[in-house]
Amino acid sequence: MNTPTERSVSDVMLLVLLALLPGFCVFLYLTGWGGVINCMIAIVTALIAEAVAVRLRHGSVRITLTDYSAVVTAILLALCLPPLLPWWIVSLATLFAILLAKQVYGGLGQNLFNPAMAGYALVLISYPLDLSTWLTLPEGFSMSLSDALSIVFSGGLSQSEQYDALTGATALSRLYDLNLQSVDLAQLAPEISGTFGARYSEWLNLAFLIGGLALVFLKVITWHLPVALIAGVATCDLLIGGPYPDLTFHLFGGATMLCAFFIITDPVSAPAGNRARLIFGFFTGLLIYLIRSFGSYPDSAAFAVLLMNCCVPMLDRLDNHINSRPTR
Amino acid sequence: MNILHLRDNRQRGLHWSKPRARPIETLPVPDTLYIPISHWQQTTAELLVTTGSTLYKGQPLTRSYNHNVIITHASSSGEVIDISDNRIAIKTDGRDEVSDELTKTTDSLSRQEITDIAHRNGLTGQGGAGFPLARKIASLPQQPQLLLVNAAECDPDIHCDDALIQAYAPLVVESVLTIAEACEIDRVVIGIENDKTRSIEQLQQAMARQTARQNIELVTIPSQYPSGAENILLQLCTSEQPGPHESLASAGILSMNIATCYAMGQAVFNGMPPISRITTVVTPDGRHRNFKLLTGTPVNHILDYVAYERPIASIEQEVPLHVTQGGRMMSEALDTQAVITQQSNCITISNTKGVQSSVPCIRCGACSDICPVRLMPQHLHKAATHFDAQQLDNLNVDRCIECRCCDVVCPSAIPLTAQFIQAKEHKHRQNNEQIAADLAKQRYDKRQRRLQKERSGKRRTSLKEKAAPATPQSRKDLIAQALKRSAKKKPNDAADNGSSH
Repeated sequence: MNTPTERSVSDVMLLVLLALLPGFCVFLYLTGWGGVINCMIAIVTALIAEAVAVRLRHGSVRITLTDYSAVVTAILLALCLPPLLPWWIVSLATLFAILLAKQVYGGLGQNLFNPAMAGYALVLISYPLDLSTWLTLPEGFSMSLSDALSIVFSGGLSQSEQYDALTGATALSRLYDLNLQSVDLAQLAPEISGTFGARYSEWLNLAFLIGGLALVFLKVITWHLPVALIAGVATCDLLIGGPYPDLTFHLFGGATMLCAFFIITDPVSAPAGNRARLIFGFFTGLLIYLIRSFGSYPDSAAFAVLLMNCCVPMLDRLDNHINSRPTR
Repeated sequence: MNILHLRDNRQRGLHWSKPRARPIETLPVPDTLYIPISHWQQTTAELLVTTGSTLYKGQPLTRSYNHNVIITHASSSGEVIDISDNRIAIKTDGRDEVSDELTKTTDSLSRQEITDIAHRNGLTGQGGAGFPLARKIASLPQQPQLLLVNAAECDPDIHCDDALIQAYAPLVVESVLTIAEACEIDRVVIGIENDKTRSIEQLQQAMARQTARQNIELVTIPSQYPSGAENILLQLCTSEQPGPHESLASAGILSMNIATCYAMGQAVFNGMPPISRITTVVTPDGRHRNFKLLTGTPVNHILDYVAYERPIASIEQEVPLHVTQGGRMMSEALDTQAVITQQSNCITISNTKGVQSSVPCIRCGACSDICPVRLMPQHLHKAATHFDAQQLDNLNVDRCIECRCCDVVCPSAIPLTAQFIQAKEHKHRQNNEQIAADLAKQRYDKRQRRLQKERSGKRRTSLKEKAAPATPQSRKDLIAQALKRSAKKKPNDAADNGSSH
């Protein structure tokens, strides 16, 4: 029998997880045990939180956990967090994402905001120091697991004695710092740029781009959202971009590709119609560029996405309105 | 997880690759046939037989002058053993003797004649809806433009039309031409899926033999569900779009299923009413077979026969079988009493009921991408859940053709179509209630006004009576007054009549 077998929600989520795999590997290479521990804490917290919430809402725990949406949220969240955070920050972000950003709205499919981004934004605002403390990249598992665990469970990297020895700036945060000191950017290009994008995170972005293209090819997501986001960033860069950093720095720096292919393509918190998707993606791209360049945070994907999430009901209505006009 | 199977074509829908139709088989005549009797509102067909009557194959059982009432015929020879409200039970004698009162026609027919033949033979649309053909032809305008023959059966499980064309293409083509000539239609289009190569060949050969007559356009369409739906087929074949609320027939388009054309041909050339039809039977192992089945054959008879040939596992294990009419996409459950009718294009026997538990909508938009009439099922789903009548209207819920494409692609396995059907019914009911309420209000207002008028009128007359007490008049005076009145009135009447003519 050759039925076009329908993909279930869990199939979709598994495909997303598979597509995240290349990016995930690069992420682990860059962050070492810190990244692994973050992921583990996030996944475990997400599953427990989801199970408890569904239990309280008298739903079926088995069905809810096997749709894997909580795992996807946890991994997306962990991919944004710097390694060797104190364990409770990761847990807090995950709990917020699952409980307050998703389950209180009515669970899967009902949430207005992207859960992973909501969780990330919460801890980014609450713990700016911890969240901007990155290991010197790439870490590549040079620290032993026991050392990493002891840092995670004793207050995190920012409280660690080896703070100065271990930490370094990401390309975007370095760019941000330099911006504040109003140094001539072009002189410092070698410090923050890599082969074609931002230093180190270019590889991460490339890996997400590959995984994302696979999702488009498998028709898990449509091309509209990523293309519109990239167009948004590019438009901004053309209009207001200085000589440096250039477009590839923005596209292959920070969380741009993760955002374009995995964050805003979350169907629940994105608009439904393709027309509305184009608008949504474009303005997210615009906001990413603007907040990065002129805002007070080095990277901005989470805020851009959350701000645009607010507009989704309006975009949907607009789209409905256009579509429901008689076709003749 | 079959991921890469859904294709996005310009015409939206589901794509399946279908196996070629298997040849037509016949079943032994069942011991008892149950012929349904047609009702239309309060009108019932007049019975021509009583319990104990001897019947021959093709003999009419009922009579009616109403085009909505479908006349039924005996599908095999035998004896009437029971007549109930809605069906006649016939005990067959196994001889299958044909009635000698069948009237064949060889002359060219007028539209009136062909309508009569359609009515007399109880022809109905065999695509599934079962609309009386006589009524359809009668509702055509004076100058119909198009005869659209539907040879597309888009459901992946239904093969009966394919099998029919392969076996009877010449008769079908001749019949199509006869109908077109009788209804004076210049343009004839047969729409067929492009993967039915054998059937297309057969039709082309049959058409080549009829070159002296009218030209038939054979249009191939992509093999895709639901391109067999009337309106979608019309759009695919002629790129015309029907109006939103008019029937195709009133727009001058006679749309007929190819099986109906075959039945018409049988009725015209052989005088044989539609007492059998070709039905696809899908067995629990997923295979299909095509049978020529007599109208009134109990579904259980088919089950017994199919199970006898290839034992069905679930009969031994006593797992209940589920029998549905229709293919995989549009189907309705049948009970054990069900019989084959003119609309039974497919009988599906399965041993699982296939009910999935659904999870919430994740707004993925797969349903909007697949919807062949370009609706937005996910928004409809939301509106239907809360029954937001205004929103349902805005989203054109009435344009849903209930094809179930959205159900198939929904990753959350939400029974969308069922929900929309329910919403449509609810809306319809609410509308009717609103109309009834409005009427009642109007009636009440009118009555109130009338009562008030009467009351004030009474008061006035009573005042008048007080003012001028009636004087007794003689009969002669009264007559004189009446004559005067009528004399005054007459010229006016004449003038009125004159102006109105």
